[in-house]
Amino acid sequence: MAHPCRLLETGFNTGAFNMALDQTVLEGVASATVLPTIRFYGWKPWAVSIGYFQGLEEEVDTQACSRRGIDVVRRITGGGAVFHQAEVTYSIIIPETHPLYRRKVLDSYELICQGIIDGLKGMGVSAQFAPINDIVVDNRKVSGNAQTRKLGCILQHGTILLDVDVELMFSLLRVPSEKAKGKLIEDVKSRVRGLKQLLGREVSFDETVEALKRGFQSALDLDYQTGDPLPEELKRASVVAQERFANPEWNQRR
Amino acid sequence: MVVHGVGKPADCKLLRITAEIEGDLIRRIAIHGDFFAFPEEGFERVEARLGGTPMGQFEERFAALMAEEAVEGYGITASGVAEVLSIGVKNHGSSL
Repeated sequence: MAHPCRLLETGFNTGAFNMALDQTVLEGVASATVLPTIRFYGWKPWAVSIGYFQGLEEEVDTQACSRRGIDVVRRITGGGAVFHQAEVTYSIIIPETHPLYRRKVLDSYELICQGIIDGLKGMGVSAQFAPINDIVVDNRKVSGNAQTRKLGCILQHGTILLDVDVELMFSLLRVPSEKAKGKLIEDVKSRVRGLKQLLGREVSFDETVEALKRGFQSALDLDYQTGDPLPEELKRASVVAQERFANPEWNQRR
Repeated sequence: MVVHGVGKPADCKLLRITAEIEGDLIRRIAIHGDFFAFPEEGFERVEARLGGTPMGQFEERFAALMAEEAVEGYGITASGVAEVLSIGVKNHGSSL
């Protein structure tokens, strides 16, 4: 029997709002006021998000981001720095009582990432899960994912790359030296791929979202209930964005 | 003295460690990086409780605290953290 799952597509929003809405939906799923939820979204303006355990100024040239009007936000999930430019981001939140819950973190990463793998397969891209949290095509990374477990729920979010502007990315991230930057740029160019490079054509946000919707539906046996965030969720997300994700105290805590 | 170490030991993601060391004791330590730890708050308690650890007991104490706080780490190990801390100490010594 398929698992009821609320499906949200919330368009393009700021880094603070995106992270706040993930947290808000987590709270709603935890209190059973909303169904388990999968959400697809984008970032406007472009943004850099850092993992919970990263040091902000160690990883990000915040002044360069500010000059270019690029948001900077700390996630509640671990993992590395991510430049949100040409990509689709998803989040999925399920309670620990759910049939899709897996006690072992690696098992739940693998299960949820199968949704992305199935979605990419539908686009003609053959991808594999690369533990802990990556999806690769011929050993080149096309998706990174991050998970946290709070309030009796799993929240996993991640990105699927449409294109990669590696030079721009490294103008925003801290690197030890110009020499290291050159090497890192070449290294990342060889190890990371967007769907544009993999398919040899432009790939739109909408096309990718449709493929991912089908992929998650198939891999996780989801019965989608399409909707919008509740008014109270949007209100709560605005508060959380202001109090936490747009707050320098949060973003600079490490 | 304050030491800074950066490294990517075996079975670890990139780790950046800053430690305040007095004599043989670690007064405070901050362990940053792109690893995962569940629960995150438990890892922060581990960091706080590492204060007062003798350098020579660091790896053992880190592992013990992770177990006590029931923290599961991915991309971070006790030996990896100890290795990067040692890098920091060595770098400080060589810069004097």
